[in-house]
Amino acid sequence: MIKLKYTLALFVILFSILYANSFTKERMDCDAGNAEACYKEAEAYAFTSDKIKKLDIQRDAQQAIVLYKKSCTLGYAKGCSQYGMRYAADTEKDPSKNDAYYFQKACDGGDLTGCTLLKMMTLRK
Amino acid sequence: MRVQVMKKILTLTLFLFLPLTLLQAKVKIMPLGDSITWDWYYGDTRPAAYLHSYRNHLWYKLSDAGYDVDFVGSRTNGSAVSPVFDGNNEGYTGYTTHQIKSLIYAKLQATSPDIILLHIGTNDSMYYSPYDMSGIEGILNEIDRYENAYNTHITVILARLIPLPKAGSWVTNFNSSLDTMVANRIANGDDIIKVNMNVVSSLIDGIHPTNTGYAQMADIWFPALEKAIKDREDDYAYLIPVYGLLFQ
Repeated sequence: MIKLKYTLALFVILFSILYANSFTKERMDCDAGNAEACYKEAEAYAFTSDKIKKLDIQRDAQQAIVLYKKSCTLGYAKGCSQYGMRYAADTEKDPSKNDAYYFQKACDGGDLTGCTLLKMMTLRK
Repeated sequence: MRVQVMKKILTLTLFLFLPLTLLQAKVKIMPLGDSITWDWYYGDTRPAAYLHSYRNHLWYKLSDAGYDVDFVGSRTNGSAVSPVFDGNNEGYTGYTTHQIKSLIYAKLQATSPDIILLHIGTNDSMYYSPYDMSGIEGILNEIDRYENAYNTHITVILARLIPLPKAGSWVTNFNSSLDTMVANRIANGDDIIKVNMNVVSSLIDGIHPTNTGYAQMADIWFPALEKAIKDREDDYAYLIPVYGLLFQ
């Protein structure tokens, strides 16, 4: 009986540790308007490797676009860089803006990658 | 007495099978770099599942030649590409050498690669002198630091940059500086194989390769990678006759 209790306790601890890696918190924070949380969730949708896959998240390029755009709109500069890279693929993009607009916004917000992608545009054919 | 016998059996088992495991382990290869490793260009509409860069072409060449390898990295793409390939990589769109330097140590700890394929420096053209090798030396120093800390060995296959037609002589000068830097590091004991990525005629936007260009990159990586893999196999080759005798 004691062994069973210990086994159950161990199971609960392991289960808690595993689910601590889930994105439930990021989802809730993003829904509440936390730009960085939206960015983190987008990163997981965009880049999660098979070998470090989170328990409750699968790669989803469209969901990543939505969340990067949201993080950018909420003022997170890195989100603007990542959204700019995916701007051409966004089926619900704002036609009055372009990828350069988002790279500029990222750069103005202090994201080096946004500045680089903006500058590198000068080397295009 | 029984404990002593068990200890001896355990030691003997470890002695016999640990090196055998090393001999049979897949070679872990980390594709490391910027958008040219990840696969992206301005105006790209493809979802990540269709991105592959040179990596799928290289994977097919390795498979055709009979090599069973593992591409490693914290990022992945190309899951919808056919034939399937291992899409794991460390490609970061828009990153400079200095940005890669700041993240590489943790990535090495997470994935413990045997070989690194490194094409990096294109984005430096917007900020740094082509004679400034501090970023790329920083990456190599971080790899050395990891090797020393974990008593391991990594072969770096380092690419000269793909030329940028609209960047004047920047890439030519960068590649010359790279040649000197690599020669010095090899002379001081670093295991680096240098390759020349001259795929300038196959660029989609003046910066990033077309699919044909990526296939050309794979053709250039392959012989260097094959040499690195064979050199690693040779490191454990002395075990083969030993095991032959033991398991007769």
